[in-house]
Amino acid sequence: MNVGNFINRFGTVLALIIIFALFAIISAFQEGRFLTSQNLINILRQVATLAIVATGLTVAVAAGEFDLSVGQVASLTGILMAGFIVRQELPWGVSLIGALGVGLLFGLVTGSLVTRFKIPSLITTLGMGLIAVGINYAYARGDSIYGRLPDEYTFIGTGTVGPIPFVVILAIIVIAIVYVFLNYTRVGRYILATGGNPTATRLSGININKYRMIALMISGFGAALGGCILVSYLGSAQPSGADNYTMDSLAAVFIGMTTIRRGQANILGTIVGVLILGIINNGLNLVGAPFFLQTIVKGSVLILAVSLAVRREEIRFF
Amino acid sequence: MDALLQLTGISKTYPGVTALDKVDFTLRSGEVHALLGVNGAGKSTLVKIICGAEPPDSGTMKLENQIIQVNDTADAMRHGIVVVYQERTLIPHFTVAENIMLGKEPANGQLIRRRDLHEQAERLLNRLGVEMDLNAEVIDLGAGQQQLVDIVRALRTEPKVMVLDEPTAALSQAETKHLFELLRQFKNQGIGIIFVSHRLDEVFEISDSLTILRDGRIVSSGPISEYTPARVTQDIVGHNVAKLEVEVKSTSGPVLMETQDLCSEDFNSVNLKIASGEVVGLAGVVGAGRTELLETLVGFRRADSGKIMLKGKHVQINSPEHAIRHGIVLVPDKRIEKGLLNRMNVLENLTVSSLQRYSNGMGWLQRKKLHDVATRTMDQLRIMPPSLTTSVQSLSGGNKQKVVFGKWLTWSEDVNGLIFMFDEPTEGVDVGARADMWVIIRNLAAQGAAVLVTSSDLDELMDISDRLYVMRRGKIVSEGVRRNYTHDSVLQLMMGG
Repeated sequence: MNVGNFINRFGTVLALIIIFALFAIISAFQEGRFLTSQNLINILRQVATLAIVATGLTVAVAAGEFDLSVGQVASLTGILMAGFIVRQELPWGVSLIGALGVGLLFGLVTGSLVTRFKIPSLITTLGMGLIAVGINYAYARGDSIYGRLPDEYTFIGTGTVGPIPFVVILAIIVIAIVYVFLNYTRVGRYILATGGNPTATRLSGININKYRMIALMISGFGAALGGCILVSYLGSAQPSGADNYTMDSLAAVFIGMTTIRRGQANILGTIVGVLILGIINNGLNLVGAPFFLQTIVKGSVLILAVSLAVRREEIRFF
Repeated sequence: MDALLQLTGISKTYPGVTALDKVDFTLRSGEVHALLGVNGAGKSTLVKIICGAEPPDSGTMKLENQIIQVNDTADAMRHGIVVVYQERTLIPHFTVAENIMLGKEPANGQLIRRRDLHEQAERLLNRLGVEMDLNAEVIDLGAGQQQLVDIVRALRTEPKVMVLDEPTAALSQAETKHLFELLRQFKNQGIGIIFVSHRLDEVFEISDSLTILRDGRIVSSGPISEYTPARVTQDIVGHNVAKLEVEVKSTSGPVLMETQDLCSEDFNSVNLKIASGEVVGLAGVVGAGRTELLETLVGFRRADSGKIMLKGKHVQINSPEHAIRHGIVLVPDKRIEKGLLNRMNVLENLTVSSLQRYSNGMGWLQRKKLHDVATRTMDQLRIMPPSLTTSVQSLSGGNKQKVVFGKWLTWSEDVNGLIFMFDEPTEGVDVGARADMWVIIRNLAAQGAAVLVTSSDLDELMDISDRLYVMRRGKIVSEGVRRNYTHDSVLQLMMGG
């Protein structure tokens, strides 16, 4: 592999390292809080939930579908999770299964609409996101849900194993499972093939609708899991607490498409994207940048990364 | 006549291939100059360079004895060089007038003067001697009319040089005739026309001179009067054409597939039989319904009525998945769109249809076995370079085609009793790979498979088939063993002349 190829393939990883180094240097001139083990662990904790949602979304995008409802589905399942425990007084395990089931159901409905009625997933999930918001408001009347959550449940979001937050370990497990799933199993390979060239895949004797459906369900499941973890971390559920995940995870997936397996949504790339977004958030915070700068920088990074890849004709949208 | 456009020593290299090697080319004003060669010979690269879409690595281009530098297509247009591509470049729901004047709308500030637009379009049509309804939306027009809109638009700038890339590919005979009449008019107006085509009969009908490219070099060039069709073919293909000796079997095996009055919007009452051990050719012009028929037989499209019988039993084929379970596979045309997983490597492409077989009950891929079986297929088909991790995008056309076919060899080592369909198996592959594909197809039949092949290259089709069906406008118009046909008789049946 020559230098040009290397930069093409790992340029985004390089950008991650440069951004990291930049904040390390800037903060060294200030109080040097960025490059402490405490803060680094903090960054990982902050990005862990997004990483899980974005990992699920990666599977959908790898299958050639968009899911613009992950944030709203995560908010809804978070509200339901808290509500099941506090209002319905269900055991937390049952509540969790219920909330995750709702995520799967959203994926299932989206998948059915996309495959049966041939509505593009971009539009379908836009609608499903609104439906999730509606159900959310119908259930919680637009209020937050507070109450005593069981310790076993809050451990997911706040607990630590040694110095490592449990949620980071959970995220790593989820990432590993999905990575292995996509790359080492038949279904995973079919999902990648479907996203790569649906016509060729279908002519190869593969029921592509089935795999589009599975991919969208995985995305819904990831969103639900993210929503439940967020509530466990915060100790309460906000009606639109997880809405940001839609844009952040899409940004992470698109940034990820510029690296590792270029032009294709891939798990490791997505993780690079998640880390870039997380470090920018954390770093700007620590160096005392005004809060609005975070979103502007995130938006710019997304556009920059994708525009480079589009210029090299590696990614094509639509 | 004067040299209008003169290219000297044009070279162009892409990574791994020399597309053009010191090419000289001269176009005179008022002539139709045919540009011929197999796919990959360098025709499209030369066209791209002339119209500014690609810069040459070296060489000069002179227009009316002035050296010109064209950096992009807009530049070429300013110099009076326009191209009409094979694909239409029209806005479907705009009218003919709007499409013709696209980008040159007369306007007051931002406000388009619709009446002037219409008038200008009308004046242009009059000047060119073309009759069209300017108010029709182009989406409602036939292929020939749509192309005419593209041509008229190209001519609105009064160009000196016009390049037509496969202009007749989508046209009916009547439309082609009409187009040629127009070309003769343009010629008389002094326009130099470069005519890229695969159809020799048309080349001889319309051209004044021709240039033949092979492997990026000019192999011959001169006035049309110096050529015969046989010489042109010889020059295009180079050395002796690899002829395959096919023994027509009077007795083939049992009939594997039979259709009864199969109908859809693209074809009508199709009855055909394919037997084990034979290669059946399906001849027809572009648009006759060949691709649609093949895609229906593998369940990629739906038939409206009629039956498909497999080994005498009626079966319903609703999807390729279904067809494959019955042992019917298609090697599609347009391999990049329909055949390849473009972002994946050779191994992933060769095994995509076989993952069921090479994964365990839990769905885990058996990577070692996949590797072994893909290696076997790769070696058997002599795919170059012999590397499973190469991205299929970087392969040559012939090797891509082998990969698309290879997935079915991986899928089943024993082809006896299977039904293989090939749609344009040698489209855009070089001479060597073409011969390889022929051997592959013949071998399948020899091993007991039933093979249905369709190709726009009639000579090839007649060379490899035991039996032929001729299709015209969605109907089978003739069927019989190959020796009952000649090239000309099939052509006549295809065209309906």
